[in-house]
Amino acid sequence: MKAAHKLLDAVRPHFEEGGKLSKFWVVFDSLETFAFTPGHATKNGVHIRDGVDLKRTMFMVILALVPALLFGTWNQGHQYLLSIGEITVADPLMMAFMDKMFIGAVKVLPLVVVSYGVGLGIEFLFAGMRGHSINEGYLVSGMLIPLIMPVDVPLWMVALAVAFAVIIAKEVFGGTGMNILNVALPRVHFCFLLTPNNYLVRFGFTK
Amino acid sequence: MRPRPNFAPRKVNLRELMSRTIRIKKGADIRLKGRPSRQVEAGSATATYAVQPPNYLGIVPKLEVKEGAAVQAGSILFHSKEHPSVKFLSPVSGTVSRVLRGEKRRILSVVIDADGKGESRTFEKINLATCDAQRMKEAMAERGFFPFVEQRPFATVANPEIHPRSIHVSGFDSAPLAPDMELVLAGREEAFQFGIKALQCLVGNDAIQVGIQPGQSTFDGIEGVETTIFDGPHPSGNVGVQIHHTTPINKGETVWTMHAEDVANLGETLQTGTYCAKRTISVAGSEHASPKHMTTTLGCEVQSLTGDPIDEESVRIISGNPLTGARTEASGHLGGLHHQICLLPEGNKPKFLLADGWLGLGLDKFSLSKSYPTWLLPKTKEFAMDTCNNGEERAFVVTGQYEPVFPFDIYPVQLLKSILANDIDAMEKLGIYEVAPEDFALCEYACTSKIAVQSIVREGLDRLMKELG
Repeated sequence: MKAAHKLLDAVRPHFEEGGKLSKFWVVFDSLETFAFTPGHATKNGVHIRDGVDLKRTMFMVILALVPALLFGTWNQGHQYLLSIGEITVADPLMMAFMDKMFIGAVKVLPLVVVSYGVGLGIEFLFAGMRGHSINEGYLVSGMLIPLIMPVDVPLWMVALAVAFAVIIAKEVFGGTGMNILNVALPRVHFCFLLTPNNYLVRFGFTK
Repeated sequence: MRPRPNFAPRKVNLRELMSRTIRIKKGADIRLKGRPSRQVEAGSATATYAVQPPNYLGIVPKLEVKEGAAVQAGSILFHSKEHPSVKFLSPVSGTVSRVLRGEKRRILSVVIDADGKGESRTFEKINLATCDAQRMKEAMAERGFFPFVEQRPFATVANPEIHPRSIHVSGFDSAPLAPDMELVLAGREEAFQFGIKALQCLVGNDAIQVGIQPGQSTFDGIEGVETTIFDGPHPSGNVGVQIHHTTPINKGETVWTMHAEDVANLGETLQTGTYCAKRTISVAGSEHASPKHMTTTLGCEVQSLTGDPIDEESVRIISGNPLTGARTEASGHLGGLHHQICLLPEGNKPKFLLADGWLGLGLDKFSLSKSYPTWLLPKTKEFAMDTCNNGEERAFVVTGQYEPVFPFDIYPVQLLKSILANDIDAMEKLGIYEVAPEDFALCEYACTSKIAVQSIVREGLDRLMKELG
């Protein structure tokens, strides 16, 4: 790993102030701190620190979300096969497991990708503008989206809702830790306001 | 005499009836490698000794000696500008070799070249039977013991003009790698008792509280103190926690706190008439070849305690405990209020995420978070921790993290945020008068967001002190 860190050290000057790629410092910094916990030693106050940091905390939350995501993916395929009459309710649940997962993934993965893509893009933009490092909070918010959005929501709507939620619910207040709203929920409200009919039908309020 | 009806309320001292054991459930003992053995070694005399004003909070020093002046043990080096009776004495005899200054000519250290003669200024012996509070204050001031008295609120050097409600002494140190108080006070029981009697002259009977550990016999037979047993992890040995659980501080009240060793030093100085500046400290840490206790004199050279030469690039020397101490160098001096020297590995190298970084298994990391397997490992395992920050500073994100290590009836995060928002009213209501930065040390240790909690508390206390004049 020393070689990898040497490589990072070698390219760092390009990203630092005055370098050719200084605009992309945030990207470089976030990738570097992702791969290597920086060798920042404590200064004042305590001399020893707990091993836990926000990256690990958020990663643990993502780990906790994975079973729900997997079940949602499977269930999507299961419901689909049921609706087209490929399987019946009496069939064992694990029947055609891989088919169900594949069909589910085709619907769910694009949601995850769009959610992370748009959300992290905005995070990078704001971090660059404000000159601070990327906050890890979006790693969790980005995963919560596919879990709380209807699976057949159009991708453009996801992108718009993510942008709305990240900017209005989080970035205007100063980023992760400063937000007064949960980042994941406003996007649902936004989608609801955007296409009320779609939502009302879904929850059976109207036909 | 009328017979006393048997239903009349009896005169009962509830305190005596009630158990004097207080169980502290919140907190954590950080199991650091390199705990000191029970061996006590005499430290060698060093060439220089130093008294460092930045060790004493709330003091602006005014020098009374110049470079080159000859001093005896007990000669005044400088005093506090605001309270001239707070005097700082030379721990040894010799010559003032240099006065180190920092930014804005702030005095960092007054260094004395020891002559090894051991000459000492003699003070009048005190008859405690006839001594009143004022006389005792004067005696303590003259003998340079006010710097060793801390006051709450504000956790600064005590203001001699304010009469304290009570004096609190912690009978044990629960910090990681702390010295064993039994060894510190071994053979000094008489001096400690004399010190307690002297403090009694100052605050009256029943106003001196000592907190001890379960099973601790160090203070058996000591008269004039009210002892309370504190059973629980660190910070149960912090005097602030002990005050909070016995006699909490209200607005307008002042209490004084002293380290047990300083009480013994005070007793010995008053008894013998010569200035006593003894220190029994623990020299410990995973980077020390043979961690042990050592006896030495206040302000001695760190090198005399650490032994072999140290590569300061890879080893950090801490004067004080790893949670609240100050970084020092091998050529530096032991801090005035410190009772420990710790040697820990410097953590200034990047850590790859899968090896020992944030995604690693972390079997060698002592963490209070359940995201590391510390809680599954045997309770006897000790950890060699380095000084790496283990992450970058973030905003407050994780909630409920400070409370399990903060044994006060105070909301820590709310208090910190009121300090950041400079809301004096909220700070008062949330109980800032009761806390000192050291009480927040474990919160700072456990913080996921790597927030400098202790310095925020210090800032709040300083601001409040300024505001209240």
